[in-house]
Amino acid sequence: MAATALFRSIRRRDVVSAPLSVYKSLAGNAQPSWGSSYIGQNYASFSRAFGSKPVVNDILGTGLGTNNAIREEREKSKSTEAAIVGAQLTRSFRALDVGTSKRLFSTISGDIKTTQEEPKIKSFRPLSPHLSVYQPQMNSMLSIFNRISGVYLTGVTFAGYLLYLKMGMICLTYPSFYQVLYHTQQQLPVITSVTALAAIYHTIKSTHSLLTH
Amino acid sequence: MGDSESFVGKNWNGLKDFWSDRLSFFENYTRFTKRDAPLPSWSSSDVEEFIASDPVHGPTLKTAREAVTFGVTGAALGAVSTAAFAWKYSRSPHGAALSFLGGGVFGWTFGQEVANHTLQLYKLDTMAAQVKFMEWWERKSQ
Repeated sequence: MAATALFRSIRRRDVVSAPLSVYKSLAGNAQPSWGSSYIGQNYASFSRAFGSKPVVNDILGTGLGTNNAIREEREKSKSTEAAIVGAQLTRSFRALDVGTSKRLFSTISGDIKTTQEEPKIKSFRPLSPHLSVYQPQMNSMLSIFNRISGVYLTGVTFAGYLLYLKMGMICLTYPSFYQVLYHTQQQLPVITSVTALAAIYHTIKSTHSLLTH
Repeated sequence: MGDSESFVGKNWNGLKDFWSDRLSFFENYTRFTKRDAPLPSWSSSDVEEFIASDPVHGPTLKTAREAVTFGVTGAALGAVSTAAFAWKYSRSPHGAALSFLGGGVFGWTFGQEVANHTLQLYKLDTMAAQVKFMEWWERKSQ
């Protein structure tokens, strides 16, 4: 009887080692203080010998922690340590010869498989309908075109300054620049009309926005 | 009444002269761009011929064309450096492309400012020199 209890307590240290590896992976500390952790292991093993519920809770906690550890390890691309954790879990559950442990084992192993296969499964969540069902609204469209007209006016002003004043003062004697200027001049009536329309709309809409807000 | 008209007329004429002088580039460009067909293309040798033939506007035109070299160099440096910076930190092609264009524009501006002070363009009437060349080429090409 005493030998059996001692044997079980020795085997339960494997259960204790799993949280330790979880602690390593979560904290990222490769060199924990062995003294304090060893003392903690001893107390945990002694306390588990006097009850069954704490053991079950610890098993559940271990599973949850291990799942998190496995996910983190997958993100870190460290498959070796994840394999070690899986092996330790297998040994720890095999050591416990209890009926309920099988269910816990199957549940957790299923979770592990699901998490491992997660990257392969594609998401079937549909895209929320937005542009396909919403009708254009007056307020939003007026605001959008106000922004568009503003950007257009900025572009025209900047391009005009650059083309006529900045570059034109010294580049007119280059044939390529002259060609660009010539074709721009040919399109000037259209550009002027659109610019005037944009300027009027932008002025009115901006003034209205300032007055109403 | 006479004094008030004179005052208004005087100010109006002054205002008109001021803005006519500032917006003269429209008139300068319109003469060569508002045509049925563009002027025939010319080459560097034609420009050199004009520079050699005209003692007044030739040197000014030569200086103006040297300033273009400053602008092109500035645009190249600005475009490449800005696009490289954007690509280094964002790795987005559209961001790098827009930065290339924006960098080129600002680089051109900086280059032209350097030329403006190095070659003392502010003392020269580069537009007049260019207009003279265009007139010369227009007469020669006809």
